[in-house]
Amino acid sequence: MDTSNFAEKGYDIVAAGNLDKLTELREQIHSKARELAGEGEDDPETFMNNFHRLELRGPELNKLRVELIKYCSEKLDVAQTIYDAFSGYLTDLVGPDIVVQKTTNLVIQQPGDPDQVPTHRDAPLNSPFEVVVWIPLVSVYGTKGMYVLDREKTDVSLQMLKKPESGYEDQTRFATEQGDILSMPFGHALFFWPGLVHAVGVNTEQETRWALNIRYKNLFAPSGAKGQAEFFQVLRLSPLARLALEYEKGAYA
Amino acid sequence: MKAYYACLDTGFVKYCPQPLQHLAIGNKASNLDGSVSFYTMEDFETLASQGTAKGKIEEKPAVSGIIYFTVRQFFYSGKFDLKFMRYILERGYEVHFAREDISIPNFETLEEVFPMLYSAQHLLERDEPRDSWRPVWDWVSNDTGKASV
Repeated sequence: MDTSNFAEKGYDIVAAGNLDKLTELREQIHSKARELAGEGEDDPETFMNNFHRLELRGPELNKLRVELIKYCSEKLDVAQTIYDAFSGYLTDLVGPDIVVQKTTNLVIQQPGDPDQVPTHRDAPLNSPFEVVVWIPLVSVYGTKGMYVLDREKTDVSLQMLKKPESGYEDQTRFATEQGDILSMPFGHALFFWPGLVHAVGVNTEQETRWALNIRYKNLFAPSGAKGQAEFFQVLRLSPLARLALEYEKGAYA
Repeated sequence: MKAYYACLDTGFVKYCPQPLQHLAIGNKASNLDGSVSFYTMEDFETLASQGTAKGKIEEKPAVSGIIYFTVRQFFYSGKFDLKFMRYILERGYEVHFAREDISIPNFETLEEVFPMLYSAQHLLERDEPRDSWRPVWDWVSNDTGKASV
């Protein structure tokens, strides 16, 4: 797989190698969301795009979101499915021995919702050895998507934070003006390095954004402040790692 | 309702005080449809050997298992103490960890979880020196914004 864009900019948009897996996952999430909401369209993309018309707000919306995240964590093997859909690219980035974030995040951003993720970067709190996979469940464009600063612009924006009085406001303005707005249809994923500054603004489009995000890294790569056993679980091991771990089990006994 | 024996992390009390460790372990017990019936902590001298916990297990307490605050309690000897974990399971007790939300009810699960426990111990040993919190303070007090090495 060609990872040169990722290496150069710190991010890339990649088409799923196995779209069926992703389609099935979206259908399962749609089916559960529809059950929880008690109404909505049959077609997953139409349901999600028009979700704001159900007028779920505040605690009611949060309850549905929490229930859905619980469903995704307990009933669906989201981490494995996303791996299956993008296995070539993911393996090229992190290697064959892979751990994955225990919980998949699901974000529902309705038009005009002022509760948005502020401008931030995931590392150094998270490990710089992770890759973040951001998967929209609907087509995203304009303010329905997110924006990200590439490596060069991230460096510029981090310099702004050195001014304690206005640094964060300057960085946010810079990110909004200079960030790459990411557009992609369903069936694609954004892979980005956690050291990149990124954010979403208020969704001023007429459709709701639904997106998953999850993090992968190599089994023996540094785990960051969130901790190896606290934040990750093993997804897959190479035959060599399996042999070595069996050996170590004997050595440890 | 199941009863569990709580084993707090003496070595981490400075950063996560006992009341918070009790809350985390109590929550884990609740998620297991159980509650904590009694608790203990190691002395600093027995952190590596888990002598106090071992003594309790030898008393054959009427509990389903032990809930530790963290898997790090099995790392104090300098390597992952697989032998002691097997010892607990062999006596019919489950092993749980509150901080990591990991449950090991039997040997089969131990086989599955071993790569995570093994790698966690190695990363801790390799990447977290004893004064690992210091770089955070160096970072915020250093006007270059870079962590001192």
